[in-house]
Amino acid sequence: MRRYVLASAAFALLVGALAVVARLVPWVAGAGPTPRLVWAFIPPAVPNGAPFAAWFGMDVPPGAAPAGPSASVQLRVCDLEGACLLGARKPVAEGQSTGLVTATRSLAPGEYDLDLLVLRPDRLGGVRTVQVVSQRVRYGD
Amino acid sequence: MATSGAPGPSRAPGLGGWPVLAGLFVCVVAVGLATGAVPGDTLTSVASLPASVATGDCGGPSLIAGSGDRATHAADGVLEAFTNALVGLPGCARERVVRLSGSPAKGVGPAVSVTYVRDAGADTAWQGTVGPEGVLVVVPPATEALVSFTNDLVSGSEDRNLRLEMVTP
Repeated sequence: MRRYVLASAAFALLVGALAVVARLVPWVAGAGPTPRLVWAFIPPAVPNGAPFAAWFGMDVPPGAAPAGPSASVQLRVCDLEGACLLGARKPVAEGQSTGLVTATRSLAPGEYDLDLLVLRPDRLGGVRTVQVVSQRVRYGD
Repeated sequence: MATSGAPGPSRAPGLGGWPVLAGLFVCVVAVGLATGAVPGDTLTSVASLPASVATGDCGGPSLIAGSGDRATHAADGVLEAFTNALVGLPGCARERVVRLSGSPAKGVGPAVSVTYVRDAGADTAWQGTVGPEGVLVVVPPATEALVSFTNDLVSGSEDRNLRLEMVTP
């Protein structure tokens, strides 16, 4: 009898803890105004030796970042086999409307998948991807 | 002291399951944090293009992003971009020709990608580096073009700039 009481208590405790976590996760992620791309343009062709690039217009409302720096953008360059490289993160200030993010890599000419990632910090010091724009680009000849 | 072979008091399954429950709890937290399961924070793919800042049909080149000197040359359809820039050429009922030229720095001219934007989508018109002699790009009727310049550089007395000139306005 005692073991069933303990098991029931443990189960109830787990359910309660999960409910708390369900509340906590959005708080950690920084629920609130989210940075949003208004438009994005990734040139579908990149001259040999030039950086991969994405132009964007973004709305970063006040309070979009829970603490510290505001939103940021980053390029991810993947070959057609799925191997990816990340460019440097570029912070985007609150209210900034337009910008450019680039990534310079010495890669063989060919086709690559380029992702523009919109990131926001969370309360644990990490970053979280909130929006992605993708484009297949031809690099070099 | 030898221990007897008799079984000791059995542990309650509820207590014996604590490590499992704790592990399950940690997993739930980790998955929740890793996936960022936050309402409204879903991953979205946006394929929109920038709204043209040009006014009127058959207008001259317009700076969408970056720094340039459109104001002093707007009357003759010339735009010079002094930094990385995204320039829009508005659509026109007739075919138009634009000359792209640039000043090199460290022996390399501006890297330019020209994209046609039509109702059916966007496709590359031309890409490469341009020098002082320039290249001519034909913009078909009813086609907007986006010109992207992304390798700006200042080195000593050299400044890599891009110049756009409407040959047939």
